[in-house]
Amino acid sequence: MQLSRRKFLKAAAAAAALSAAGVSTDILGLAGDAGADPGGIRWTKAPCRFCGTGCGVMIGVKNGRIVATRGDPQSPVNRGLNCIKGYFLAKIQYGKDRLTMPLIRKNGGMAEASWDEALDLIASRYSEALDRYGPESVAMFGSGQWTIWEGYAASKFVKGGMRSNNLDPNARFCMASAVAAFMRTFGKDEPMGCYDDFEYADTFFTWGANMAEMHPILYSRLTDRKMKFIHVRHVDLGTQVTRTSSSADIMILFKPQTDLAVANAMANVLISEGYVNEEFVSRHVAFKKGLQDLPYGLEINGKNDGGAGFRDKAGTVDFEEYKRFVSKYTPEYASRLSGVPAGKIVEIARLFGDPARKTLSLWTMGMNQHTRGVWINHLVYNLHLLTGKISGPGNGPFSLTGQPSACGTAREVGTFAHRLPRGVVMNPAHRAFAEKIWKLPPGTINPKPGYHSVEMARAFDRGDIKCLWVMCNNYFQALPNVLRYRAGAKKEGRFLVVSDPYPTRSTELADVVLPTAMWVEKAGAYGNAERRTQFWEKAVDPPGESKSDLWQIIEVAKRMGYGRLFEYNLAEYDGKMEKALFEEYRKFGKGAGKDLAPFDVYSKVRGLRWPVVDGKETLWRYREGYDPYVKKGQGFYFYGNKKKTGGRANIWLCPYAPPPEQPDKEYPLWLCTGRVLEHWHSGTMTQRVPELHRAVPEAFLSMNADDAAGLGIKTGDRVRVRTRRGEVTLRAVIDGRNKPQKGLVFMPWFDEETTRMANNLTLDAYDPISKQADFKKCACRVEKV
Amino acid sequence: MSKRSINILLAVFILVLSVSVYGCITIRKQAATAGGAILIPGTLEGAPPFIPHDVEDEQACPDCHRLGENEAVITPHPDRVNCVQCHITQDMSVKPFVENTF
Ligand code: SF4
Repeated sequence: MQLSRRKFLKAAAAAAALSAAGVSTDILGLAGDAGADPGGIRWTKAPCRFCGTGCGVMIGVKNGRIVATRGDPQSPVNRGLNCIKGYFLAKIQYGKDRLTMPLIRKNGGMAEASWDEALDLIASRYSEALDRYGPESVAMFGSGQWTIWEGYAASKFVKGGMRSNNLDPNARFCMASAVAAFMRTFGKDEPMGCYDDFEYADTFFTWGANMAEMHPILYSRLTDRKMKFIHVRHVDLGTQVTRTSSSADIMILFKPQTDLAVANAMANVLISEGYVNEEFVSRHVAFKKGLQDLPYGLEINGKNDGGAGFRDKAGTVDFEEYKRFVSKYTPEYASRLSGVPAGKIVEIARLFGDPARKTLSLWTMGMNQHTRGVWINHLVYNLHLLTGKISGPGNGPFSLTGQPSACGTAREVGTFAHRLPRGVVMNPAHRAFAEKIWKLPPGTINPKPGYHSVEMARAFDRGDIKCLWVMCNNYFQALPNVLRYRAGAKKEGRFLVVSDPYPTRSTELADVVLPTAMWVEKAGAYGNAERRTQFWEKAVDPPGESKSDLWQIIEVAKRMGYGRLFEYNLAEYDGKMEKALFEEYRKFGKGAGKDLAPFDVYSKVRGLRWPVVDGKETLWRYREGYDPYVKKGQGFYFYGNKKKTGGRANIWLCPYAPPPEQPDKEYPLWLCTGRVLEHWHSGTMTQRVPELHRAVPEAFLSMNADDAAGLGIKTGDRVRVRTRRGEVTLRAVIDGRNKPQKGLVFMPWFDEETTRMANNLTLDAYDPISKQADFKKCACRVEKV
Repeated sequence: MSKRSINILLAVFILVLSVSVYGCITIRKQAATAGGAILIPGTLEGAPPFIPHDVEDEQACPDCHRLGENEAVITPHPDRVNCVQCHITQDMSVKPFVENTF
């Protein structure tokens, strides 16, 4: 875009004045989405396709193709910087094996078909299952990578159309524990703070989070802060030394699952050494105790152990009971369980509690992928609530998300088996609210929660679910104990639809494969980990016959007789279905603490953090002076708990409990799975970028040097890893980027080669409260081959 | 100062500025062999240069790249510490996963 210097200065001054007043800037169209540069490249903005950090990127388009991407200097998230995946975004859409035609399984092979044929087939199979077996027999497994309107359309289609609640996202593998704990603690989901916290914090706690690889740009904000201010400290807690540990002043290596004991012992120290913020606790905190002996979501001899339908029973207790509860967790007791020296626990508790320091806790999968994931999330909130270090610049528990719209779509739209865009299906008032907005007759929405991720796969395996549509994720590589569920999907009478841009381990099992437009081949909106809603425009056409998930959902809905759900007078919405859906969706959050700005505003700005009230975004929720929902004089107000506790946040009494499978003689090592910087999830996109593939061409096994020596294994040796469920063969790496503690091995899960798939090995246990699977802990055996 | 040296200074200044604005932008396309082992073709415009040698210790990059020891390229952004977040190695012996038509 051509701006004269004078005009630019004026625009900059105006933008500065506006941002000082809290009004969104960029109203002058400086967003960079207009005009072409001298090379004839048109630049447009988008959030990165990958992680929940939500970096802004500029995309250069020429002759209908992406020719370049670069970090967006105007994005407040990343200020022009990207991680290596972001720099190679330009290539993710151009793998040569893009799916370009619908495919239908015929005579054992996949045959190209027209959209009409494929959509008619899906509609007829779904309708037939609904008629014969009812709404419990149909399902959809979606994603935290869906755009906001795709998730919203899916919810409308499944819950408002088919009257089924069998809609769940891969977010159940990702941050469901954080959601459940946020809900139980604050009555509202998602972090209270924002990325500005990084520039205010004095002490960073990373809890089982390798941010240097999984949230690299946020990690660079952490290290920036630490480099500039000598007093800043970083405590890294985990089961292995990672790249993130390199900036740590204190490294806490605990035995898997014993984070529960360590966090309780820290609370014990905070209380016994006088670090409790008594005023905050007496005014703003309540105490809760739930059931203490929980199942693990395992099937034993084909019978569920009670995890599937588990509902917690909670009661209110007082501070004294809580004190008695944590008094058992002396640093010495926690030390015996965790292997962390008692003195270290005391030291980090004091650092945490120091009233002169602002403390930020950061975590992702280490805490969330945990059979007691909700508990460990609670135990960290407890520390922040005891000390009042919450909802203010630099202070707070900050749960990071793995996926680009885990927050914006899965959590906010609520594409879970029990959720609606506002509230839950079990609540009659919430159902009535959705029915009103969706213009449905009262009583349409099914009050019974549907199958959640792991149980969905089990129901498909059993045949209780007849039709399953997987969208925007790679379910049959991502599931724990995946071999069992892959076999299940192949059984007679299962109808599987998979929508994807590329062939995957899931498409190969499908009866119908739908070629899908990805990322900037369609208009989209994502919500990142700091509640920032970000829009992008369609930049290029998708290849061949590919269509967006949104289009696919609406076309099937129409063919099943639910077309009315998507009938809008599009002339009112500039002809855009996306706008019609978003404007309707916005009604769910309005006045309920999740206010979103009008559609058109997001087209111009670099995202806004909700609640957006009177055009102003919210940086810190629940805090007077920052959050429009908190009145003068209230100080803090956890309004999500208005009805239940009068606006107090809950401290929960959660004990240590052992994991369901532990190393033994036969399987003597812990197995932890995860990601690497260069690859995204199951590698569908990043393995097709030659540069990322050449950096990490295959999954590897990180080993502790002592363990490796004991087994006669050196770096580069081929090793076989076995668990009770399956095996993989990998190359061993000793003292690589991951340095596991003794007794633990680590492997990434991106690799789709069947002999290297991490989920051949993992255990399909889950947290019974959040139903989130645990990919971090099971017992394995390693041998040289 | 001659006009020429002022021009050079200006060019350097603009380069540094563009680097700080766009993050790890490539200054020139890299086709270097160092350590003799790995040959790396030109990287993507706007992407950071690859690491053209084996890496033994990921944390040790600044030892050479801060001041240019051992003829190393001097980093234009010594304030960024997690080098391997943007700069990656390339194993050119690896078979492509699939062809990319970018
Ligand atoms: S940090 Fe995350 S959002 Fe940012 S460029 Fe990397 S993958 Fe993309």
